[in-house]
Amino acid sequence: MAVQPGSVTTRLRVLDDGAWISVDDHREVRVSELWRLDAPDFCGCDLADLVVENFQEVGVDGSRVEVRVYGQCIECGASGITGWLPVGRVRADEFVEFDRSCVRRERRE
Amino acid sequence: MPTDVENWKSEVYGNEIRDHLFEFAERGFDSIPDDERDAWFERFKWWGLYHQRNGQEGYFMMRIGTPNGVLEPGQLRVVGEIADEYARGPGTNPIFGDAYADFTTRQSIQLHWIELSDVPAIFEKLEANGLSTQQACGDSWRNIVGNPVAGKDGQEVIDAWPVIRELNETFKGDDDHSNLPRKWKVSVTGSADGSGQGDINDLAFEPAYKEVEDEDVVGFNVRVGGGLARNEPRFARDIDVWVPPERVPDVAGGLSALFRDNGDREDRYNARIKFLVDEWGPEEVCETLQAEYVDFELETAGRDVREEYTYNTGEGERNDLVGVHDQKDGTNFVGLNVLVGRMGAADVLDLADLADEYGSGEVRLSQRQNVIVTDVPDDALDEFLAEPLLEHYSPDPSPFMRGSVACTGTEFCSLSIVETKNRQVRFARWLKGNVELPEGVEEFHIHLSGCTASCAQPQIADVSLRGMKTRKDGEPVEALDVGLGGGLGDDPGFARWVTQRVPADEIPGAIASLIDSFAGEREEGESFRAFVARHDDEELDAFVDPEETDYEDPMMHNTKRTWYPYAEEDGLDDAPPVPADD
Repeated sequence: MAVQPGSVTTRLRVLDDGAWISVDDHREVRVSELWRLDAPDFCGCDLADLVVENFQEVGVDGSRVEVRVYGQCIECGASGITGWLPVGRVRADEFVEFDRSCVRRERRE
Repeated sequence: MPTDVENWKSEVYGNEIRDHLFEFAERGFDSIPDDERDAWFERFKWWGLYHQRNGQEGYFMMRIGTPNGVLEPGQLRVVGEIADEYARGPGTNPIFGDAYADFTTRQSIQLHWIELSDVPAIFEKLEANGLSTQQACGDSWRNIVGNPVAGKDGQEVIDAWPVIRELNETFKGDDDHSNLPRKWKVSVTGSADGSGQGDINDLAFEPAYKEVEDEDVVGFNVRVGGGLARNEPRFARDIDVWVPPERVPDVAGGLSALFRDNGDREDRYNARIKFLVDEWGPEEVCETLQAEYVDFELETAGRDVREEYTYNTGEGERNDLVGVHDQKDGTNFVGLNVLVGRMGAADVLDLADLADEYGSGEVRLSQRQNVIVTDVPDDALDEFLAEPLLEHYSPDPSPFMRGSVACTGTEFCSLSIVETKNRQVRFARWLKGNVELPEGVEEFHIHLSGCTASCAQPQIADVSLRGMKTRKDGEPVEALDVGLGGGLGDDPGFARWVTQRVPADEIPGAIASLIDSFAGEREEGESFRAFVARHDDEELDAFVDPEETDYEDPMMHNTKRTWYPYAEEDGLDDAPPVPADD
């Protein structure tokens, strides 16, 4: 998909069976990380401790790049697909990944 | 809306990719336009090239499709020479060295660290020797699998090799079938042992008898929609069709076209034909095949031989093809264990010499990542078995060596969550040295897959291990989910995932405790699979008692955050540059 965060067109894709997120044909975000999530719809943990197994979708909200992920909370064992989670920002044609150790808050509809 | 991949495929796909590939190889890796890299890397797969994971930019995995795992005389040497010359990169594997070939669970061969500039020379050498990478990956007919000793096996019902060869010649490079919604995996088996593993393929032809004009004719029953990937395992469904050998290409082509026209091109996660079979049911698949894709009357299913299946069943005879076995012509085939399917290039070349010296020079690959030397006469057998190379690639290995299967893992793969091949070697060595199976248990299959893509076929093993993460002392570590009791056969079953997120360094202890419980509570003569079947998940979870032992695992950190897990300076910042185009 090609999206326009601000005035710059950015190509965002989920590729290789959901192994990674491509931003402008560069591999930027990958599976096998542990993310702390504020995602009460995903599981009952105060903060889910999610193993990122597959990317399902990628999109933008303003300049913020967001993904939906298949994964498992290693605290409680719940597995499934998350809501939209922020992974980084596109600024001046450059993608900057958010610090992986920070809590990621699921977008509330 | 079609996906990006579908859009790229509609622009350039299939045979025509080759000219572009060669042009990029000639002009250099950097000649691939920055904004077209995703598209070209996706397309290159059709010609068997898979861009390795991040940190290894500009290096490719190359898959050579060897139909039914058959390597004709001389071909193994060609593979060894190519591995030795071209499959060398900046990373050295501490167990396997610098150049090696991987034998896969679909009877293909994978080489790593291939540079784009070397592709034309490699293709030239492969093709001059009857080998090809065409359609080894990508959305089309993949390497056709079956019983690797088709045509030679003393247990054979029908020789499937001519059928497989015809399918390969017909559908490799056929523009009508080159762009499917997703991969298309076909198995054709003629033996009564089930070693073609048809149940886990998109399309399976299995031996069956049918009465035609008062005569019992041998042909194939047809099953559709099997596969293990993505937490959605399915066994292929019986569509109630029998086909004589000469009609197999018509039915296979009809089903491939049915998939081409009806598979989901808007959601790649829903694209495999197993989901179409879920949606339609086997009856509708059969009715549509009859009405729209073949121009003759289909026969209903014949009498199969599934009750005789032994391969990967977890009990009975011949769960694999390792060891010495009779051929129809009075000679022997000798299955050699290749631990996790990986063989150093020098060993590949030595084995090619031995195959020439003691057999016909032919070698075949099994779906358990092993290699088979065929056509060894009785009077050469003892001398062959005494060859030093067979001490390492043994025809009579420890059950833990024999039963080990592992995928590529984070060493090269984008999708994997954990390190696999070297870890499985360490597991097997530790188990061999520390654990004894109960009397009479000769085989014990442990399959390690780095993720849910299931390339190591974990769901059909005695012990299934699947990549995960957990925290240990608060720190993230590589872990594995543990499943038990899977297997094929007349009544196939997937492993039940009974214990989750075991830190990888506690797995050997967990398996030791499990085998201890099996030995203690086993009924007389009971197989491990039967033992698992009569216990519930909670009981089984209690048998799996993870604990640290003297087993040491050097890869507990996030191996995906390295450019290469075994490098001294392994950080992504230390990644080598894209290789120079010379």
